[in-house]
Amino acid sequence: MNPLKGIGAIAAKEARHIRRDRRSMLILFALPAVIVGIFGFVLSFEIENNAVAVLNQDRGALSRKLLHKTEVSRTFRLVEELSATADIHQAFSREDIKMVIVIPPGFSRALTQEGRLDLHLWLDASEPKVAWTMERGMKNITGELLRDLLPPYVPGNLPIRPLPVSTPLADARQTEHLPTVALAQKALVQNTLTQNALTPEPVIHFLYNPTLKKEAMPIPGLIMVIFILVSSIMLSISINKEKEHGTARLLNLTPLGTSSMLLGKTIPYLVISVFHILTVWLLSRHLFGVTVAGSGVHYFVLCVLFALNAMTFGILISSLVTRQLEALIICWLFLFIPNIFLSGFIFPVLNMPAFMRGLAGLLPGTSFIEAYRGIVFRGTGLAENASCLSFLAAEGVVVLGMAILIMKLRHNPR
Amino acid sequence: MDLVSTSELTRCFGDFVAVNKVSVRVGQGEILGLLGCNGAGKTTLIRMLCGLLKPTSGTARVAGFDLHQTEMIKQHIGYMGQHFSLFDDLTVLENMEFFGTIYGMGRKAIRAEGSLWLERLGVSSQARCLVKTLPSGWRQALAFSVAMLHQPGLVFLDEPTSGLDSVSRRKLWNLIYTAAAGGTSVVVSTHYLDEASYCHRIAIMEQGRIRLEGTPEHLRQEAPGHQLINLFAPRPA
Repeated sequence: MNPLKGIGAIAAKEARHIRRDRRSMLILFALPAVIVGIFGFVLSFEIENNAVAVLNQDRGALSRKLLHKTEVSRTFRLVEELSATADIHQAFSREDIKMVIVIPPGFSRALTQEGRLDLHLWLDASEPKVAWTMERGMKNITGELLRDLLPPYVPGNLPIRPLPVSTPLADARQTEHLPTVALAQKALVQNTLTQNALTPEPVIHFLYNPTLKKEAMPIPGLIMVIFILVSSIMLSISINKEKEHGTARLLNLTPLGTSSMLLGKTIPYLVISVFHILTVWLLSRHLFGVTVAGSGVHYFVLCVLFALNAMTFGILISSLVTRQLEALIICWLFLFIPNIFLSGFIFPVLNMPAFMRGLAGLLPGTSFIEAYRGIVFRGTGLAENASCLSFLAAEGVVVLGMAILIMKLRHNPR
Repeated sequence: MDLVSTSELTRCFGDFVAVNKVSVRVGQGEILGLLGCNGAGKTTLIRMLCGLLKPTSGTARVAGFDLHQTEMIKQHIGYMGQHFSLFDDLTVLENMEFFGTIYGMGRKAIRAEGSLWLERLGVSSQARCLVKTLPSGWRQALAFSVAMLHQPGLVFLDEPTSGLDSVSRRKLWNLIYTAAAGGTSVVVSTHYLDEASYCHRIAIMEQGRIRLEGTPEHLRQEAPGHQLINLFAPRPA
């Protein structure tokens, strides 16, 4: 036989299979577009518009200049002015504030006379990626501020170079600080020389994950992965295994109702999830030193709610498909990937375009990550987390209701 | 009392009439055989009587309940299909425990009834074996015992002997006879014509209708050459 004909026959047969299987068509044609459409957006954005509060005790020209530079940068958005040091910690519980800039009295004087950057940044490090971006952004701004204090660039010389103290004052750009600019330059130069760094840097205080532990960062995401794996994917596969093996029809012949069947099936997975909650808690505490700043009960309730919510999605998916493999693919594409990429675990939700924020808001992962960071890092209480917890519960009830309705419509006598 | 009585029971799938105005009855302890080729409507009829499908028209009473009382019907019947009547990765005892519990039996009753069946089947030593490790003849016999565990008054067997060897088929029919002798009504579908003679009464189905109904002897008399097969296809010339 001509092997080319054989290959052609197989290709034609395969094309027919694909054309007649609507699910294959969906996976092969629609999903790539969806994936590129959704994740292309998410993967490309930068971390911008972080809400910042300011405690300015200086009121000098340089502090105003610093704040102006902060205001116009895309990274930051000044939303609140604080009046006392005592307000700093409270500020973080309001308005999604991620950073507090503290400009102590005498900031401008210290900078111009001693070349000392007396600036304190309090950063919410529960999202280390955001914290790093803000830290870098502020260092750029202070660097600019310091460079502005230096004389203009002279061709052939380094932008920052040792200057003789006798440099004519008139050369300096900062005419408002005429008497002291020379001193500042000297100090800056010394600073540059002694620290072997371009500029002095602000003092950074990381809050809520003070050492910016990298180990702490993936933990909420890992919990999500575990629960989506155990609660959604394994449960969904198990339900569809019964369909594939025909035992689902057998159960349908018994007096057992759909709801009892589903509840019965979820219990072992819930027990496994509780085991995982405790394991992750113990491991993150003893291996990575992450302690729960808030209430342990809230932490546990949050994890159980997320596991239950994930189960309802697993049940919904298994009500829509008939095969284990389909359940796996759909869980992976519509639960796993969105919850990892859109929940704020990797990319902050606030920076997403509006429609993506809406989509992210519907994902259980978004509420979970938000509440997790609150409870574990910031020690937030029930009041702050109530919305996330109640959303997880309410969404679970709605999704379960939909799943049971679909299953009843499919399996009850028609 | 009739455990099954239907009146012009019909089920359509779109334009296709799978079951067409079927009226049958099954008395207590009676074995009714639904005989017919593949696609004759046997399984659709059984699925309607089990409460899995709604009839398009017609009425029926099953185990003393109207067809819309599906939950009551399910509680009072037993069912065994061609495949998948047990969970493969559970042991024999675990299967019995599971199904017994679903039908509301207590632990003690399950154990008592279960060991009775295991002895009857001669498989007591295999009670703790996974079902998937057992030969298919045993599996079907066990599936029958599980369907009978909650002592239903009526049991539906949908092609229970398909794919079994002759000896296993004979053994399963012995079990069915024992059950019927104990007062259980049996509706059994088959396409093995030789099994027709085991039934008390036969309904021959063709294209959704009951073409002939009667005792095996009566139907054999009716058939050309006194052979049931001749009712379905002419003898090769």
